[in-house]
Amino acid sequence: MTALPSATSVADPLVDASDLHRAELAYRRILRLLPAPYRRDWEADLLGAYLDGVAARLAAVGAGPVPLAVSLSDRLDIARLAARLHLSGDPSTGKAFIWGEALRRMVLVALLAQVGFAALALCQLAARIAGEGPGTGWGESRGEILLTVGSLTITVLTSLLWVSITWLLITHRRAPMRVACLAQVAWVFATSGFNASAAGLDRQALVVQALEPTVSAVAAALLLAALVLAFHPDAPPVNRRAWLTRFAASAVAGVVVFAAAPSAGADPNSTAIGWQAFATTRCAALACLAGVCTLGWLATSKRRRRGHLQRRVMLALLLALVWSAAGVFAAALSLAQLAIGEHGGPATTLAPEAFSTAIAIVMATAFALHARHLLHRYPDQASMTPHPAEETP
Amino acid sequence: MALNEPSFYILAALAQQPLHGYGILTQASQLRPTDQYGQRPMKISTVYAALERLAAEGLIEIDSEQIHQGRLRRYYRLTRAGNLALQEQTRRYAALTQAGQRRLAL
Repeated sequence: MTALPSATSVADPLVDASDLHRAELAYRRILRLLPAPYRRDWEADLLGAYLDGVAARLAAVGAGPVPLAVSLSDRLDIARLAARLHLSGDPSTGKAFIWGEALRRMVLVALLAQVGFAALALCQLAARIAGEGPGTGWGESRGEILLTVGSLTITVLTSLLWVSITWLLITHRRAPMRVACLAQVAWVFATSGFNASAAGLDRQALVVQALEPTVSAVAAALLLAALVLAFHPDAPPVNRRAWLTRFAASAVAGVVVFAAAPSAGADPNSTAIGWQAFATTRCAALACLAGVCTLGWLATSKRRRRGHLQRRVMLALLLALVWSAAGVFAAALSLAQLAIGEHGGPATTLAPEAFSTAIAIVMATAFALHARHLLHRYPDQASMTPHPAEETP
Repeated sequence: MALNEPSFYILAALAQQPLHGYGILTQASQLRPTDQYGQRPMKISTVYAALERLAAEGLIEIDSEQIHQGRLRRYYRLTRAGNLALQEQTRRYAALTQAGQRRLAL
């Protein structure tokens, strides 16, 4: 990669001033992503730096037309700065810090849920290899065996990637974690079509089989995007000891759920991919629910100012509703899929659905209480003090 | 006060003379050691996130503001606290380097 051209070496006469003005307008539009108080203090300076960069690049390659659109790298750079500022890691920034902490905890809880389901998926794999319990056969025909092996492979690899991402985040290895996130996004989208293509089903079942993994893949991508945005370089590091303990507890919980599922009327082995779909969609929904609980508490608490957060709470609520609707849609598809297939009617599938929903509610409640406890520890003044830039007229 | 890597390079870039945002970016990028990918320039977002933090901590301050081609150029300079922080961090890095060299018998 080449070094940047020096600002002092920029040959300004090579650059058309009117074109630079148009480029400036384009940059100003993108800079609206940044918080208003920050823009008030820094926009003019920041804009000058970006335009100096454009002029320097042009000067380095000789005279040429000024690009009238913002380059992709600059767009990503501004988006990164916006994420840092909107989800601040500095307690003195008040609202931005609370938003950042809420999102960081939502992501951590959603990842811990993934660890639990990874443990569950590994239990399913072990049970199938051992041939113990109902529904642990590999299938009669070659197609059925292929589908079973493929499904299990996808589930286990997806689960292991989730575990790796969580482990890397907790142990503060951000660069490999980002690589793992990219790999996971590519993997979940690449494998989302497996069930439909391998099953050879009729049209109705094909739609069901194709849509559910796609919804799950989108939910997983949203979770990973939230993870990368929330844990930016300025974010406070994860408390390693506390979250490693929770990591272990989640894995144990996955094993306990596997062991307890039969007594709740569920067959833990019959829906290998369904469990993974549940993991992504339902966990996204429960993370949103937990976030809404946190923000709702912040907004309604008498000790904090209400007005500033009301609009954002409504937005978070709307997002949670959309996300939860996606989760319910996926669950309905899951029910329809099982009703169409040969696993039995809704009567037998409602039990695991109710069981899994109960787990989600318990987890969301635990998280809301945990978030309330954590946010209580931030001093009122520090958490709601306006950003220094907000005080300037 | 321990400085992170971008903050250290920015303070080092400002050690000799006041610079504007893009000037800091180029100078700080040149100070970074090369790796297997060559010399990687810093991102403007990284520089400005650090500038805001350093200004809030009183390690840098605005020196002057000039208009260049109709655009604002704000020049920053080190404060006394910033100079001390840079010296302290430089001594820390030097001590680390010496410890490593002694162990490796370089």
